[in-house]
Amino acid sequence: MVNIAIIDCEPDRRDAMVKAFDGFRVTEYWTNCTKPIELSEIVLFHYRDQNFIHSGELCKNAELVVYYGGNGEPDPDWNKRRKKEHDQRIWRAVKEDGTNALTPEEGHQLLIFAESLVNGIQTDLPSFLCEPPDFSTLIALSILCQGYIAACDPKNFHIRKRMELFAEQATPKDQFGRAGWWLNILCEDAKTNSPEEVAATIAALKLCVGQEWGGNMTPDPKPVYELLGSIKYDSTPTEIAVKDALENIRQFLNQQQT
Amino acid sequence: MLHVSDAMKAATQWQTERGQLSHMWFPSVVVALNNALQICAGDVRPRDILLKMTENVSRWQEQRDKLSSLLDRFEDEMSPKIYFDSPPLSRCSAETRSWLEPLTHELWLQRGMREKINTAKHTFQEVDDAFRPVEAAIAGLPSMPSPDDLLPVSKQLQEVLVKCQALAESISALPHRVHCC
Repeated sequence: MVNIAIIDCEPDRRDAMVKAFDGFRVTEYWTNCTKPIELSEIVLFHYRDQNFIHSGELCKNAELVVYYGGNGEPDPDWNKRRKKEHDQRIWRAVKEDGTNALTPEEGHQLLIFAESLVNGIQTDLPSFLCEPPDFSTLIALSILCQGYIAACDPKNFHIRKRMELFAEQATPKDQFGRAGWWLNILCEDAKTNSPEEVAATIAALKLCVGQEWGGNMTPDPKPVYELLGSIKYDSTPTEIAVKDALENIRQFLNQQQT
Repeated sequence: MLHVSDAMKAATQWQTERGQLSHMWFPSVVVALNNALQICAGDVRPRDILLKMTENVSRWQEQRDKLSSLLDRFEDEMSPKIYFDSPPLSRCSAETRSWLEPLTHELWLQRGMREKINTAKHTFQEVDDAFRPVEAAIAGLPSMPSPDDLLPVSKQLQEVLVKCQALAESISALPHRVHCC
């Protein structure tokens, strides 16, 4: 029988995690609790509870330690911070009220993964233990869209005036008239010298976007693909296409971060 | 693979410190205030009341600079302009970057962030200001204060606690991650 330990000072979050392992032996700990420890094969560890006095002993003897916290951000220092090679982390914010805690299905996946570690069987990491993409292309595209809209939409004149942007220039639309303005930023190897090269670069860019959007196609990334497809060698995308794409990216990123 | 610029490391550092604030620094201040209130109410009777009261109230002074620094750095370290220090946006021409970077920052501020930053700084100042009369009142206490001596201090401490709650809420309202749109 697998023993599971959960170390977390927040009772609601702890309870939510316990529910993912219904039918299994789960022992709960929190920072100042005094109950004797029982060695466990799997330890789920809220980051900020590392002051728990028996944490070292519990983790040393566990087959799998999984860290989690309220901030599920990509962590560039994760590989330095993890204590053992098999230590993992849940790559989403698990909130104090238990929102985003592991589901029973995910608990089952974790048990299978732990068993494979013990038996030395190579197996894929469950998705919630996989570092998400950094969305760098989508973030950059969203910022370019915002710049385009702010600079081109007459309604945003007050922003331009406040920023003293283009105060004495004609409409800045000319600056965005070439594919290069978009693609030279978004693609490292952008080629924008001919319509054919622009088309090839956009195809590569669509692939990047698809990878960042991942297997879950909700919301549908179609507006983003349409914007990319509308970037032509000698013309600028329409404001509507840019606004739709921006809203699309905003919905997607908000969904990833909740 | 995430390209990590110094700016992104600073954002991560800010988030780490914010986590420490929420889980360690700030609760220690609130616990100390509650301890002081218990002394005023007579629920706790330390041998040296004056010393204990002073220690409890001084927790704010120990932590205020960290908190002040955190709030001062938020606008720079958690702004989406940090994305310009890493690819792809680091590939912007100097001309594009000269306007797009400050525009990105300004648009972020206009999405309610300016108000949240100002509220957090304002509530911080309110707490800081509220501690001063408390410290002065405690300094003016006799060496063996009676319950009557402690009554005005108790009222001031309760006001400070209310302001601390407002400060905690205003910090919670600040985003936990860098938002780009």
